[in-house]
Amino acid sequence: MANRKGDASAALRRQLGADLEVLGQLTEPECAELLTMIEDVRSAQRQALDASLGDVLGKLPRLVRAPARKIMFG
Amino acid sequence: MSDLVTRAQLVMLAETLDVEPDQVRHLERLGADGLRSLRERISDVLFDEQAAVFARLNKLAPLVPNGVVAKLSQAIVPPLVAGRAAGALGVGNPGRAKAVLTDLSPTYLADCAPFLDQRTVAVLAPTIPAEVLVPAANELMRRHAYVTASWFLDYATPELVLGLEDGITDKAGLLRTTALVQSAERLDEIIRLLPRDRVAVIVRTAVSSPELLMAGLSVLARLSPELAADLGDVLFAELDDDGLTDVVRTVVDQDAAGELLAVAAALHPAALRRLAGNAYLTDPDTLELFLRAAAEQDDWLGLERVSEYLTGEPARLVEEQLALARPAAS
Repeated sequence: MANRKGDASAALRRQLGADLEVLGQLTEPECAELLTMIEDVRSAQRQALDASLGDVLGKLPRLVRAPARKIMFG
Repeated sequence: MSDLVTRAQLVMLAETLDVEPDQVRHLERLGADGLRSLRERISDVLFDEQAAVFARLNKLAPLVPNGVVAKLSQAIVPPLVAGRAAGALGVGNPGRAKAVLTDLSPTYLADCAPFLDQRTVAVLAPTIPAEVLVPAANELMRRHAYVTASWFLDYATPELVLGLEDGITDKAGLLRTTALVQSAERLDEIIRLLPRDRVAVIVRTAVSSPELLMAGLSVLARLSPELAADLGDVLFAELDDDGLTDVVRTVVDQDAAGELLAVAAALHPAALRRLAGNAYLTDPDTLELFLRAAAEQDDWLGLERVSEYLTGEPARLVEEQLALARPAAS
């Protein structure tokens, strides 16, 4: 995670877009904290999505299970 | 009262980040617009990162009948995932959205609502009839989830706005929800869409508690002047003299003098006359507080309009302050 002065602000701008004006009002610690929160929620949502996909594919009618797996995982 | 709207945006940012509102409370200083732009961008980035998965889910959709989608979703898909996937699936399969939503329970729909991609709500809203959403909207009211409900109002079509107003039984909840609509223009649009007698029912609920009064004032203070004046008449008609004193006292207690002055700037003469004749408002201590609020906002119109109907010492006190403020303002 960014820890040099200005690193967190630059990293947040890279993630959210340099055109987002409100980022200019955030302090460096606030940028670092937001980066952590975004990473945490991103990771939690990815895990939840992956787990649900597995669950759903397992419960689909047998006939469509194989083609469904192929579509989702190639 | 912009504070209500700012607080709503703060709650929505916290929901987007899946943290407690207290963890982002220090960002309140960014204001409603700043918080909204930050939240929307974070939400867009998070959704866009999952676009490839959603695209594959869309390819999968034709293989699975509506009934199976609804049954499986409620049985094993957590609301966070269902909400996030629903928008993309709905946009990719617009003809099926209504049928699938109809098969889902209002409880599950309300669970999923906070996790929807708002960009897709704007696309889907015209395809979903109100009767499909009303049970979920009533469930959101029951949970006091006014912030989530408010952004549905943001994107609702005129037909949907009318249908939701008609179907939502908790009119006080509807007032709280309406007060959280962020844009004043959109708020004005929503209120104009509704029949005036229905709006009157909603406005009248404002006098039933201090919290609802704040929501009501917040709505009135952000409406265009002629609409605020008409609805102000509705509110004042609900109040006898003691009731009006209670309102002014609540405004003072809630530090909302600026909001009442914003409403006063639009009021019709009869309502202004009643305000100016209220003994609690014209008490020197209360007047001082209103003068301070006007000075802080550098907006004297509300006090100017009330002062037209003041007499005696209160009139002199306000006129003196207005005279001092006028050269500064010009």
